[in-house]
Amino acid sequence: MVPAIEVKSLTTGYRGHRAIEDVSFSLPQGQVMGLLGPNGSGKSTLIKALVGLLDPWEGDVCVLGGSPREARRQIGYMPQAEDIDWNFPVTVREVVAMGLYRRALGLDRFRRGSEEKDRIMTALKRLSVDHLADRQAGELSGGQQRRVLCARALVRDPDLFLLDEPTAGLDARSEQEMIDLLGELAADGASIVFCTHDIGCAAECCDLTLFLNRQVVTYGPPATTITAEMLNRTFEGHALVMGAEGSRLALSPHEHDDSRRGHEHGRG
Amino acid sequence: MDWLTDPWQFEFMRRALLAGALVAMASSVVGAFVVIKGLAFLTDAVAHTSLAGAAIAFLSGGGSIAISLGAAVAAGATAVGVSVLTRARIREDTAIGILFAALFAFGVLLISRARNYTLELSSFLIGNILTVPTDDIIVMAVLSSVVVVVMIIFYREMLFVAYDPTMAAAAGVPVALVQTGLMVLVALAAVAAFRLVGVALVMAMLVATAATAALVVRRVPLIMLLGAAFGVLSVIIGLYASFHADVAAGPAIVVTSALFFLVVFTLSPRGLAPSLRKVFAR
Repeated sequence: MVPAIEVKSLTTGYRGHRAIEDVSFSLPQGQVMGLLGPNGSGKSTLIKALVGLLDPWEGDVCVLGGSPREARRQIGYMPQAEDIDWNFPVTVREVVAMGLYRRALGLDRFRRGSEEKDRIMTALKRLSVDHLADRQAGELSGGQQRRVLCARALVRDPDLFLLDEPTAGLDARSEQEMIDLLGELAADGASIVFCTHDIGCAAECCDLTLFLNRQVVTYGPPATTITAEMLNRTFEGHALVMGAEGSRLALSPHEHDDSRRGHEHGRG
Repeated sequence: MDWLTDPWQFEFMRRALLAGALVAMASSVVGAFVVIKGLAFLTDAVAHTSLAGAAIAFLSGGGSIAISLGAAVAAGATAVGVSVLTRARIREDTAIGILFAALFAFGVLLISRARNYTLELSSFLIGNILTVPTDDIIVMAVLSSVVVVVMIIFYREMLFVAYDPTMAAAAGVPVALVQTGLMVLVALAAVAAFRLVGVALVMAMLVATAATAALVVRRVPLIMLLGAAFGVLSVIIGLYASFHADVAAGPAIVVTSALFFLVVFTLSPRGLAPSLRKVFAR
């Protein structure tokens, strides 16, 4: 079986700024990978390279046996909720329908059967937000908005999920539900990559964790990668280790305060 | 009740109504995106720069069709120019500002060579809906239909790109092309509207009706439909005002559409009351 993702010596970035350098890793199919690192470490950049939004400057990205563009229809992508204009007048149903977008010409463009409606409702039910289908997306709570974006990513039943901070801003219960969902999707055979700031969550639900700080710091099962040394090397001394057992770790609040500014810097 | 039926006995009034209705529909279809995405300044710019193309056609002795074509070319070129400059890391309002001033000045400069300089200029600036020749109505009908049909065909792409360009690009939508396409549609709608209300007031046709609709409904297709309804109503009421009070038709239409906005804004639960609370909140 081809790996879900095969990245070799990838260097890329934005407008002359190298955001990640010489990144290599391979993700087998059906595995859940957590992508961890401080703000500006290139997590979103790596995800964008995997979706095909950024081309490699050097190196090679292979997704489900092809280029990211070839694999496009098998990828469920969820951008950061902060990147979205929540004042835009769209309903939840319309947002999820975007996940079913396909290039079509001629009269085929106007074929939107009951199948499409069913898929949208199935996806919304899976995230338990089907009762919100006709609400304005902008009127929902942050947690509900993330579920809607996640429903949009899974509405096409993709083989690979690339999720940019799916649990950011969720309360403990919603976060647990999201983690359970990722587990279910993986059990169904999907491969998943998600960025997170939550080391505890990564320790709990990932088969593999990749620590990124512009380069790969370490990559492997959480038990071997989530160590005080690696946290220090990745977060440069800014991570606060709450428990030593490896499952209950968290970042210092300082890290979260900086998240917006750091994000913009990361894209700059 | 004669005052209701009188105006429509005249052919120039019936033509004006037809032209106005066509323009109102095209305007509200692109106007919905103009309002949601904050493209009002771009709209104003393409309307004004269309003057340069219209002036070239006019001075070379071209008729209505040539003038509209010239205007469409200049407006479309502005839209594409802004799109290109913006991608070269120049801020959008700066790019618009440069092209706006340069091409509008060029248009006025050209018209200043015409014999009836002020007369011609004012007809371009505030429109002449009551004297539109048949050719002009055909041009407006063609432009408006193109705008509406293209929007219906590419609505999914337009909505996707406007809402979430990152995800749209990941899904394989040609984002830059769609964004440029929207600007070109804005330009075409502006040219259709410019024969009706003039260069200076085009922005009102594209912005006011859609903005009014956006206060009432919260889905893009509904904003387009309701905006068109407000637009057609504004044209009808404006024409009545023009006929009975003997005022210029273009400005009368625009003032009517602005009054619609004011009334709806005052009554809307999302409108005046909460805004005042915010302004005077401590």
